[in-house]
Amino acid sequence: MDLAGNIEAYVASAARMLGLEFDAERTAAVSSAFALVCRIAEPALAYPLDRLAEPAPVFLPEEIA
Amino acid sequence: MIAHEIAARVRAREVSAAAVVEEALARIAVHNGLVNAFTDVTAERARAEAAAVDRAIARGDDAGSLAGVPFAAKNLFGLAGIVTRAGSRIERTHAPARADAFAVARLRAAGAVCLGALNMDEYAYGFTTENTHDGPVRNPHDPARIAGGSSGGSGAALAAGFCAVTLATDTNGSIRVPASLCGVYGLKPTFGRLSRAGAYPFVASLDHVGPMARDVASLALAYDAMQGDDPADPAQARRPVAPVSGAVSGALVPRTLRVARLGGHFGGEGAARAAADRVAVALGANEEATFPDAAVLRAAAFLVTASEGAAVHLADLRARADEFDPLVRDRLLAGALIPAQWVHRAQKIRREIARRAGALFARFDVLVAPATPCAATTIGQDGLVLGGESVPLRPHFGVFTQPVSAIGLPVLAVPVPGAAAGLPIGVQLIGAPWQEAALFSAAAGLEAAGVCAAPLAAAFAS
Repeated sequence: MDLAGNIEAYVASAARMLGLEFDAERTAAVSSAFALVCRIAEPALAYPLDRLAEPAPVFLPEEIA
Repeated sequence: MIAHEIAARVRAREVSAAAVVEEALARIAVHNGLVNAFTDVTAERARAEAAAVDRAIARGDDAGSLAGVPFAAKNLFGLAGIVTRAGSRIERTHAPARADAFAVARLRAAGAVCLGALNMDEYAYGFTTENTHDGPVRNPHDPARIAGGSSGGSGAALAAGFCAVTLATDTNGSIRVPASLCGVYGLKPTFGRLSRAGAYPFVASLDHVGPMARDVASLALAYDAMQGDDPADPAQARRPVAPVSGAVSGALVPRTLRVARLGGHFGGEGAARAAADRVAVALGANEEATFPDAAVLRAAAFLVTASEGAAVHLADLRARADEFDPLVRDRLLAGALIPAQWVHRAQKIRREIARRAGALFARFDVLVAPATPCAATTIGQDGLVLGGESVPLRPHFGVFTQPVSAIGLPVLAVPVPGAAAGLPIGVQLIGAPWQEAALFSAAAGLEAAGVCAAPLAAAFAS
């Protein structure tokens, strides 16, 4: 799979959806930054999360104390 | 310039607050050019506040626990009359702050004197304080090196002796990383402990406010002064104030604490590993503990940070992207594009793993881990070799701090001076939620044993 090409295509179209205007140079730079997001995110995306797990939109530490 | 000693001398009329502030302003005038810690020096304000402290003492009033102590705040804290630049060029086109941030007001109420605002990474999104608009903060221990970030000015101002307490914020490590690289103490309290009102936001789910200082007793005085209920912060927990100064003065024997060294993800290498091992041994740790799924938590914090951070700035990213710091802009733009499903997943992961991490505190009071993977690197350096692998330096400085703040646990970063070829390096003391006092007790023990200390950088010691 051409991951780099996929990322560049995703970045270009998602940016348009958000009203962000990128020229070719910025598309390349943001694609590189987005590739780093994808790489660092991998462990979270692979984590076997329970389908019904609740989120922590605001984390409350007392839940674990 | 040790805060608790200054306060004691000012209160005892051995020195005036006015004299203390003049000495600090003189040091800043001579040396700030070398360090670039201050972006705004509020000399007029500082002199007026010092005069008020001296008048209170002359009247016989209680001038406060921080009477005459010079402090400064990361430039994302509101300071009345000063533009809150938050490390950016964009914000400085806005009107000056109308009021002090809550944390600033609390230090002022305790008698501290505000010297100004400190350099930082743009919008707090960085670990190196190589700010393109204001220039990099230079580490007082070696001006060719970074001070860490994003609260780089807050760390460097202490190591250079410009002030005795600084205010900072920590979302993924922004207090603990500069504390490590500048060799000073820093506290990231439990999430929700201290009000963030009046501090420019970065990531609502993860932002913390905290103090930095050159000794444990002064850090405790500042933290105690900063506590208090503030209805203006919706993320603050409604809990009673829990002072820690007693834990510092009364607990020189930390062996009553149950301490473990974190292994696995938190092992570290080289000087970072050795410093954490040394601290763990000094605290009587005889067990290694495993923090659950640290890499997963780090990834979750990274996703939440990038996405929420971008949301704050979306309008400016659309209209004036060229005005952002190039070191920050492309990461904010990439963050804006993260699929919502990934962020939902990250928030669920935080809660699920937090519950598992909580089980560790049934067995231990303090967990010991390195604060940074190495000591201060060279300004402009892009890469780092760790474990034989090349990694991008700037995001990697948070590898040990990010998983811990992701679940809101309190951390006190303690400095081990000269640990890495003459440079300091910091160690995290990680506690159970709301148990900051245990961390102060451990840190006071380490300080008393001579394991941890925050001497002025050699070039600034005279």
